[in-house]
Amino acid sequence: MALDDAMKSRLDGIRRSFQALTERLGDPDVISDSNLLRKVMKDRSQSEEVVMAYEEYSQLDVELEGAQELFQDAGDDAEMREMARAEIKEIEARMEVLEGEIKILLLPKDPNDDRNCMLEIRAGTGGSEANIFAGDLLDIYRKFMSDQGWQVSMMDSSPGDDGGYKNVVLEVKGDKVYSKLKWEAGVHRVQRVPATETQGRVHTSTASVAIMIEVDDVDVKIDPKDIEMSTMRSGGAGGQNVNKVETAVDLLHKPTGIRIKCTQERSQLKNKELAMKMLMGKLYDIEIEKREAEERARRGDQIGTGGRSEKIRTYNWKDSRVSEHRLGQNFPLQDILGGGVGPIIDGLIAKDQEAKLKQLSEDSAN
Amino acid sequence: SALNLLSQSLGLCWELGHRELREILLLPSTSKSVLANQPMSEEQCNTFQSLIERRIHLEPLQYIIGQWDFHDLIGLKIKQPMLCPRPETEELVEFVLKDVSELIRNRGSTKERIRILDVGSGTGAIGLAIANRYCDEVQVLALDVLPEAVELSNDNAKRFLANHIDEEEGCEVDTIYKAILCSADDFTNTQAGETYKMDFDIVVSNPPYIPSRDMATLSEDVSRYESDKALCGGDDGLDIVRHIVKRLPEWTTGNCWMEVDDSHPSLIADWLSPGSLESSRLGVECVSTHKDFCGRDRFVKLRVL
Repeated sequence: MALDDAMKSRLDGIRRSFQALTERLGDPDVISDSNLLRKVMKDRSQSEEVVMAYEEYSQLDVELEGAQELFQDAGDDAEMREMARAEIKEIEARMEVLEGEIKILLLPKDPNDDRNCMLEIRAGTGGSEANIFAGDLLDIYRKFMSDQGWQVSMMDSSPGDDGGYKNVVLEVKGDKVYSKLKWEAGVHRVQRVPATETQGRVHTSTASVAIMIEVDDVDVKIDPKDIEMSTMRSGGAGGQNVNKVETAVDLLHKPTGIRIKCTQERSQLKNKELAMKMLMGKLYDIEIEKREAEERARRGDQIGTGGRSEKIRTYNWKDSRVSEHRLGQNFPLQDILGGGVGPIIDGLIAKDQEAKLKQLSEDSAN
Repeated sequence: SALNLLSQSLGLCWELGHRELREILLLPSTSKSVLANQPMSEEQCNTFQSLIERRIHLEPLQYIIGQWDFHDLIGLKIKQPMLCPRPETEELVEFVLKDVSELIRNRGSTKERIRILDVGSGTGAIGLAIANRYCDEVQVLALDVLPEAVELSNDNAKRFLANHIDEEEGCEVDTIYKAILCSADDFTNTQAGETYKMDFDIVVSNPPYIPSRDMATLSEDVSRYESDKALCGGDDGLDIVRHIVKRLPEWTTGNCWMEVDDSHPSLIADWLSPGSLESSRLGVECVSTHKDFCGRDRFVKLRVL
């Protein structure tokens, strides 16, 4: 029940570093260098939560001792003993809660959790209905992102002929973006009567969501020879001979066949840089997927963050429910359509933490 | 085009306006936004109408709007008769930036600025893109034969470099970038040399390079609106290139990067091939040629012997 010695000494170490960093914030040399200041603040804030929790825990430990002494000294005084016992119970309960929190805070974090990312929705099987469903998912996510206070911009989109999108890519920036959105990756399935359906039959269509981390060329190496770029200038003379401001760029990564289109910037160079960003994000995603698939195979049945062909969620219109398959839980359809995917994500995060904690205690038992 | 002209008519912010409009166009869910539901005023409609008319007559978008983005320069001012910067020229800038970054890496602790000569500044695009990236490390001198080009280049310089100057430290816009009225042919140390030191580290140019025979094949939006002088390089298109090559040894002991017609790199590689008679006579040799993003021969790198 209590925090074991190994954990306590680890927490003491973290607290010491935290104090050192706090002192550095007062150092005039650090204050005058804005980059250094930012780094120190960032490092410090990463351990702030666990340090605060540990301080409270240590404080309660002292109070517990006091209450236990009171209980001893009470002797035959039944009333005193009762008061002391009640206080002990209260403190112990609070300490247990804190322990749980601290253990979770000490879990190894996904190093990518704080990164910004790109969210891609791609219509799957189902033709026009799939496109429309992709559009519905986009609406859901945009509402969610707005509630989270994240900065969203559209990087690329291919509208469907009858509405919705064949494909749309958003860039999302903000606090803990990847840590939450990573749970959305996978195949989403919809069961309903499509708008285009004349005979009232229910159809099943799909759309897949991919989450790509914003990476740079330190994380992913791309050989320029593997890239084929085409632009509006590809035919004809080019150079001084032509003045076209259609600066759209189409990038093909030959080894994987991934094709990225980028149209939003006025400078062709910037469109190319953006397209490369998306490409690197996708290649990194493929790497992560490979690594995680290996992990999953090794550990047996464990929550993974989206095998890209894993059907993670089904949206059923007739029954007004959304089934999240990894949790084995249902959620009201209207809540989800209003952007309320937060509870689903929180549930997935909690389940993942539980699994990690279990793994940790199994490992230390062995 | 329409998106940008509409953004202009509505007076929207340069960076975000056209993006917002594109989103409204493509994403039905944003049609609930304030911008999407705002009715246009009569004045805005008239402005939009007249801008569209100009575009229908093939006037280049950059001239109508008066600015465009080039490389890291957001909102570079552009006006007739100066040439509208092309995407290929962004690649030319990237080549030079790589050279500059290497020079910075290899030069040790000296605080002396790396000196760049931009021949044919036009809007100032090339020199300013370089100065903008390395505002503490370079000093760019730009030449042009048109007074309007010199004025526009210096104007753009103030626009992009103003927040890098520190008058107390003696750093003005001039310290980083300056354009002067002078042709390549005239820029020698016997004339301008007493005002300007000649030992430039890098020379860069996007000279007029279209061969006369190709001038007639240009599309109307180019031939009718952009200046012949900024486009035509004589019969084979190499007139200005030849002037530059002749003067190069007086200007620098380093490299020269040029953007040229796709017929030129092989001609130049031949003409100035290392060890050739011409190369020895002129004191310049062709180090390498490079293709642009469309796979066309487009760039040459020269070296002074």
